Amino acid sequence: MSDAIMLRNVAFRFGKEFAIRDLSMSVPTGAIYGFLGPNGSGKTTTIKLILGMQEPEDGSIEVLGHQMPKAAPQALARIGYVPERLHLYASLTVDEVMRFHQAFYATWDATRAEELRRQFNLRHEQLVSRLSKGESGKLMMLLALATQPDLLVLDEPTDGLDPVVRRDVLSALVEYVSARNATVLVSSHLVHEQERICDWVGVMDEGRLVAEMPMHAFRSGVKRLRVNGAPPVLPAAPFTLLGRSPVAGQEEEWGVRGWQPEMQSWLEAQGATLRETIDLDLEESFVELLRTSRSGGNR
Amino acid sequence: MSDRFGLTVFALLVLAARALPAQDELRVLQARRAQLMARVDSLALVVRAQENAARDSNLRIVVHDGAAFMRTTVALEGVGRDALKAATRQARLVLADDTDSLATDLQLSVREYSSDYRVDRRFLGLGGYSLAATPAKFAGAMLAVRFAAVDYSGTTLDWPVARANLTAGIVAAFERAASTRLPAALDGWLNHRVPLRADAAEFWTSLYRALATSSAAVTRRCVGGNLAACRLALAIDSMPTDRLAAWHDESDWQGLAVSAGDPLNRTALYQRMSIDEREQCTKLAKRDACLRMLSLLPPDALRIPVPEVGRAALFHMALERGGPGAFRRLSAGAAPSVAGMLGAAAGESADSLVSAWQRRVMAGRPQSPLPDTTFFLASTVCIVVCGAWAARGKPWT
Amino acid sequence: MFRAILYTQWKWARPVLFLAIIAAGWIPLEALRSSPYKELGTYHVPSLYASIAAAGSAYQYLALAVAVVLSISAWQADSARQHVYALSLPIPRWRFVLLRFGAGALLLGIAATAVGLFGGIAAALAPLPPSLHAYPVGLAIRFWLGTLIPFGLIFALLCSSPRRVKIVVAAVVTVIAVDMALAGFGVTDGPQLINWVLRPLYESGSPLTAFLSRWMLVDV
Repeated sequence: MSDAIMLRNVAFRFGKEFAIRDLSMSVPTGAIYGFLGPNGSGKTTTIKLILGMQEPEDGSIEVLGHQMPKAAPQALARIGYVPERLHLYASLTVDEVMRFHQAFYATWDATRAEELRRQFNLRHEQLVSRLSKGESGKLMMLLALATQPDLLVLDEPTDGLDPVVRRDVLSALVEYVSARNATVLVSSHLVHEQERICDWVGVMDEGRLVAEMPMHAFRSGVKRLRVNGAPPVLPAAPFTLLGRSPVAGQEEEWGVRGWQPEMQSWLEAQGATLRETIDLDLEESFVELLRTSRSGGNR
Repeated sequence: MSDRFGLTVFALLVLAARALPAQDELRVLQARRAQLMARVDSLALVVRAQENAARDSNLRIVVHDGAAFMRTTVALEGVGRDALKAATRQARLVLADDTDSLATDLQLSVREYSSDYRVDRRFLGLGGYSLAATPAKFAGAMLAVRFAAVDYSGTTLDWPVARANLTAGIVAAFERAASTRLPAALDGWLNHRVPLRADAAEFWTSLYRALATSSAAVTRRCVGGNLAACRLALAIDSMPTDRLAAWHDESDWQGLAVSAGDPLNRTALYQRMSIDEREQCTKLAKRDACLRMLSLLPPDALRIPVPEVGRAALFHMALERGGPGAFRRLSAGAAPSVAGMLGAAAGESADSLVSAWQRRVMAGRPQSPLPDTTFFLASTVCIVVCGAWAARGKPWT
Repeated sequence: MFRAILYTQWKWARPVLFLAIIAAGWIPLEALRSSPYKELGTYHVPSLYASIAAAGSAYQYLALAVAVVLSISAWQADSARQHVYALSLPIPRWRFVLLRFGAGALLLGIAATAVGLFGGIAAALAPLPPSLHAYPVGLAIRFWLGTLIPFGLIFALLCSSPRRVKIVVAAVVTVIAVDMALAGFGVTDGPQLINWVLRPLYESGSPLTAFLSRWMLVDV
């Protein structure tokens, strides 16, 4: 399976404070790729690099087979983009925005656009500046979907939306993806939402990609172990030790990835005893991952 | 520690303040010495300046030594010589060989002047202290003109004397000197000045514009191609007895009633017509009221329709077409009218001369109402550059 | 594409263009109406000429105002959203900018056409003296070029990167500051550096001479 988005060793500096260093990521074609990360972790900047709005200082970016930002217009013609905040011209009406957008896309599906407009309860004459947050989100999704893109790039598409609107937007998205087999890169810090729709996940923190894997691996892969009597220095383990922290006496809590029950014998060989294995949900896994990545833990 | 430091600074400041007046006196003495030295040097230079000027023409520029500004005389050496050359060259263009004979009778001198003043602070409020503290200086130079043993009023020149200003002053002296050689009728027609100034590049265009927008209908007819109207507008034959009828039509009346003549000319008008009566013309444009107003103006309130520069252009043309000796023929003044004198100078009939002048004026009409090529090119280049700059711009980086 | 961009700019600049069109109609009418002493048959030529020359200045101010407002309005909506929408459209940036520039030029053309049209109508209705003639087309072309120059300058500056804008602003501020400092310390008598910098802009062949030349609806 080829990759719809491929970043190789990308470096980018934004001001003195923030930088993306040596970023490599791949979004498989047809995947719904959840791009997770706390606020300010670099998700939006990475998306802007992917869309060719910013130029990387180093590395290469390929989107739908096009080098970015050199071939941005060709790639953008096949991309539907929903940014974090409303980016449309405020003084235009819904109808005018649709007509403006249509002028730039040969693939514009007017019938589908009209269906979505009705489905989203948007009125033709409504001014963009008067739209509520939910209506703005729906309009941006409408524009993205009506261009029939091969790749949808959604930056916090449901952030701040009420549950009803959120469901409308997500169902329109899922419906489109299932019908077209399109690739979706959806950035969010709402982990549970990602868990429902994504089949791939990438976690970004402080300008680095700290994990990238299929969702099922991510969901089941991170566990917390309560271990007693482990020596301070351990030889190479058959699992990934994300971090260890003392609890009481000789007891410690370990964050691990790739744990299997049969690995208990390795622990015992080190003179340690496994007291408990705790399954983590996606959010806890996410937090554990960030915690260990920030403390420079062993991955 | 800090108290001691403060006291030391204070003491130094006091000492410095006391030392300042002494410094001032010393500086004045040094400046005077420098002035005296400069004066000695400059006197030698003045002599050289006179010698140089004498070599260039029959003229002498006598530089009087002003008391304060020695530097000027030094500067005037070069300035005076250059100005004399330039002015003589300009006079020769119009007066040809007669330039030298005029120059023989012309004596010029430049006198510098300067004065210091200090405002007495007793006459000033608080705000005047700064003014009182700094002495101000008036400085300038006066070009005095003496022609055929008669003194003419001098021309004040800006300080420091610039070549262009001095040249203009000397040219003006030539103009006045030359006008004394003309017959009275021509002298009056030229407004007591033989114009020697070269026509600017756009002279004919601006003359055309002035004549086409003149307040006299006869002038507008002249640039419309009517030769008889030109003779009338130039007033080269004789002054018409009824200037209003000869030069103006009804559409000119109201404007003339408002603006013709100077305040002294209008005394009778103001005395014999009330404001209400005058407003019948100036505001309501009543024909009779305008006519009455104009009738109350003295005849000379209506001036020759073609302005002085236009008449000067005709004069120049006559001398140019007449070639060498033209100015002498003018000076002889054998003809009874200005037309005759100009014709004699030009060596052709007045009609032919005026016709040439009219053609030249009409050729000065702006060719196209559209913006010129330079404007087009400059604008297009600017727009293209802006467009290219904009197209290369990136909004974020 | 061009129509879509033109439509947005038309929508943003519409109120100003309407005002400009009204002004384009009002200026020549007022110039001809306010020219005094026209009751005795035809116009008093010198006053009419002076009145038309004054109207020429009004045209220049109008051109400048329209150009400034149109250039700002062309980018205001994009600037408000950090140009994200424009950059996400499948069109090269340079092409998008030139389309906006072209749309602005066309809208300025509407104002220039109004100047020519209303000027022509006003001049046709007025009993002009034989030595004067109306030049509405020449005036309209001059107006259009005259608006395009400030439009282009401000347009380029507004869609440029903040760094370039900062450089331009810093250069201007530095010139003013140095000039003030030199005058303050008595080195110069007044704003000489600014004059030195600006002089080439007003010299023959420079684009700003457009604003120094005569914008005459009626001329000889």
